[in-house]
Amino acid sequence: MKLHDHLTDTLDRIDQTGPDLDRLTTTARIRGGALRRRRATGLSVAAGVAALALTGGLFAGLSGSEGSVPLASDPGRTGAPVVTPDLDGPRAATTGQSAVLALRWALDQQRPGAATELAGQLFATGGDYYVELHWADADGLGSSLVGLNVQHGRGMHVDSCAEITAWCRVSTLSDGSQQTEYDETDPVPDGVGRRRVVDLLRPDHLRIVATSTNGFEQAGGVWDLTRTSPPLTFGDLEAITRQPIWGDTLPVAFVEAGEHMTDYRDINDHGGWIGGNS
Amino acid sequence: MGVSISETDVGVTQPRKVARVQDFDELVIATGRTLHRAALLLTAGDHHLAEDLLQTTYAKVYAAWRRVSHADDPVAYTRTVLTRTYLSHRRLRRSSERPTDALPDRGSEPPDAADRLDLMAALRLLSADDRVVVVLRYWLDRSVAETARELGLSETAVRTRSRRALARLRVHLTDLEEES
Repeated sequence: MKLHDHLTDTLDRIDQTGPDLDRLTTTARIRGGALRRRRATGLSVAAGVAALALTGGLFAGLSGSEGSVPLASDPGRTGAPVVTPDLDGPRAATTGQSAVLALRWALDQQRPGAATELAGQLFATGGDYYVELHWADADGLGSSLVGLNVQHGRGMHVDSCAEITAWCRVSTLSDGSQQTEYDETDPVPDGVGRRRVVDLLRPDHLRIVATSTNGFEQAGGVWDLTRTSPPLTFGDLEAITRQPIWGDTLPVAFVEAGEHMTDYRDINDHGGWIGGNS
Repeated sequence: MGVSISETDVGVTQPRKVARVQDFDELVIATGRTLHRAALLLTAGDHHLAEDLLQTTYAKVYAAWRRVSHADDPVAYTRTVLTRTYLSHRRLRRSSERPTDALPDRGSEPPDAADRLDLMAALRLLSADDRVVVVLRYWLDRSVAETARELGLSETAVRTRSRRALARLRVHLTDLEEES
């Protein structure tokens, strides 16, 4: 029997009714429309940041200050409080809110820009967490996603470049941490989705993965490109992953500030349609 | 502006009258059933995942509808979105940027019929890249050249993957004939 006939016979048995085309159309219109709106919002935020960066540079020039003074992310935009942590002070149990505030703080140490749409998910049983935010870099080229994943154990740590088709480098740091830096590219009809990743496995077996993309990967796998390349460099991502703050606890300032966040979004999609055996 | 479309364009075996697609709904009606089946094969028979993949595909297409409707081949565009969305998420899962302990282990999900077991279990043994080639070549009836173009591969790579995939499938589907 030809393979096409095998496939057809099997599909005829398991798919007798076919998809609900009305529901498919309606759902696609809703999700696709939301995607359009998010794209428009992202561009608007980017334009605003570009204007802000230009204004900041002008004022810096008039006052004789250095033009490279970082533009801290704008807390007023998200309702998230400003946090100035005491890194050597007391710590408290990590929450999703505190983790994303810590990510924003770590980003502010590296680059000028504005953070919005702070979100995260915390797995209470294992202490793992993933947080993300929309980062409108002061380069004004477009808003995109920055994510941070903290996991206990080696887990899915990428420890070789064998499966990476784009640029990749594996190294062992002086403290014994294993670090893999790599780029991933996903051809999409609109262009090329780019994901820059630093995957750090510390000697205490805490895995920290920081990512920067050139767009937004929405729930369900929608990939919305907003710029040609990720705004964060490998150096930025490495600095974020190597911050000593990550773990089951965070400096208490983050945790207390997180209690007052008003627009934190709890991610609870658990991966959409991803499946298969590999 | 409408675009020409027929079900033969998406690889079904029963052609129907060519229709003029005036809007997004017509594209879904003309392609939905075939691409749903393609999604079922890509997800090795998982109805929920297949539906989610298909919805994601059409959401992307709708978001870019102004461009899609003016494309030379909107059906090929939609098909490419489907396969690349699938491949993209496979890569995302490997890099595991999010905690994965809550993800369902779809690979061990028991099939509900012996026949389904044979073919779908065999499909599960293929890599994602090889499975996409199988679906495009042997379900959607794309040529080697078309498959290569849509996946961004060389024709040699498509042939290599096809041979490799068929060899693996043949272990489980003993009555599988040689493909030309």
